Amino acid sequence: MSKLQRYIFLSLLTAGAMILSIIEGMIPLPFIAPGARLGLANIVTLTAIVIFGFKDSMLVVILRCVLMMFVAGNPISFIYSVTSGVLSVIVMHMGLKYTKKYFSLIGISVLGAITHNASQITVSAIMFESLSMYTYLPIMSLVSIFTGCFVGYTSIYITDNLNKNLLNKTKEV
Amino acid sequence: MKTKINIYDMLLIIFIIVISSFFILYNSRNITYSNTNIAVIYSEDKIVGEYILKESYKNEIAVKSSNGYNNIKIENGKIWIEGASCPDQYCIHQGKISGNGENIVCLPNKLIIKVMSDKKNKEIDFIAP
Repeated sequence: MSKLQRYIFLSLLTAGAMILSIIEGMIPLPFIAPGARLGLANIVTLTAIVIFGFKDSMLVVILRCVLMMFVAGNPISFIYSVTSGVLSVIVMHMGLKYTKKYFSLIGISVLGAITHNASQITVSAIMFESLSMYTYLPIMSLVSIFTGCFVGYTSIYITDNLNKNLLNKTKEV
Repeated sequence: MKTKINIYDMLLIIFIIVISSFFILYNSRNITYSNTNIAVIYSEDKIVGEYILKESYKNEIAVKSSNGYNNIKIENGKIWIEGASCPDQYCIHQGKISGNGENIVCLPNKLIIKVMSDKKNKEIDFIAP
C-alpha cells in the first residue's frame, strides 16, 4: 500500500478504537472489580499488530489514549489506559512473533487481555500505595479470558477479511 | 498466525483458570471475622480514621476529598459506604465488609477502606525449642 493509504488506514483504525473505548465505557461491569472494562479496543490493537506491525500499532494505541483524554477522560484514566495499552502491544507483538506455531490469535489476545488487566491493577496499586489491590487480580484474569476470546475471534474475522480484500493475500501471513 | 482455536490456546486458558481459582480459594480461606477487626480509612493516601468493628459500635463518617465525598456507615460490626459523589457509584455496590483482608475502594475519590485484624493483642503462644 502507498504511504497515503497507510496513513488513512491507521487514522481510521484510531477512530475505530476511540469509538470502541467510548461505547465500552458506557457498559459497567459492577460485579467484578472497580474500573473493570471489557477491553474492546484490543480488537483494533491486535488487527494493527497483525497487518501493520509493531511501530504502527504502538502509534495507534498512544494516539487513541491521548485523544481519549481530550475527548472524554481525565488525566488519571489516561495513565491507566496508556500503560495498559503499551504493555499489551508489547506482549501481543512478542507473542505473535515467537509463538506463531503454537497459539492462534485467540491465545495471543487472551495474553493481551491479561496483561491489560494486570497492568491496570498494578497502576492502581501504585496510585493507592497498597498491595491489597492485587486481590482483584484472580477474578479479573478469569474475566479477561472471556473478553480475550471474544476479541480474538473478532480479530481473526477482521484480519482474514482485510488480508483477502485489501491486501490481496489469500495465504496466511 | 493460525486462525482456528487449537489445543495450546485451551491449555493456556485452563492454566489461567486453575491458577486464578487457586488464588481465589487461598484468599477466601484467610479471611477472619472477629470482634476485634479494625477498619482503617485512607483518603488520598492519608489515614483519616481507625474504627473497631465491634457488634455494639455505631458510627457515621463523612469523608471529603478533593474530588467529592463519601458517607461511610458502621453498624453491627460491618462497614459500608452509604452515599458517594463518584459517577459510577461502584463503591456503594461493593457492599458491606467485615472480614480482615476485605477492602472497599472508591477510585475517583482515592478512598480505600481496609479491614485488618487487631495485631496488638497477639501473644506468642509457642516458641520452638
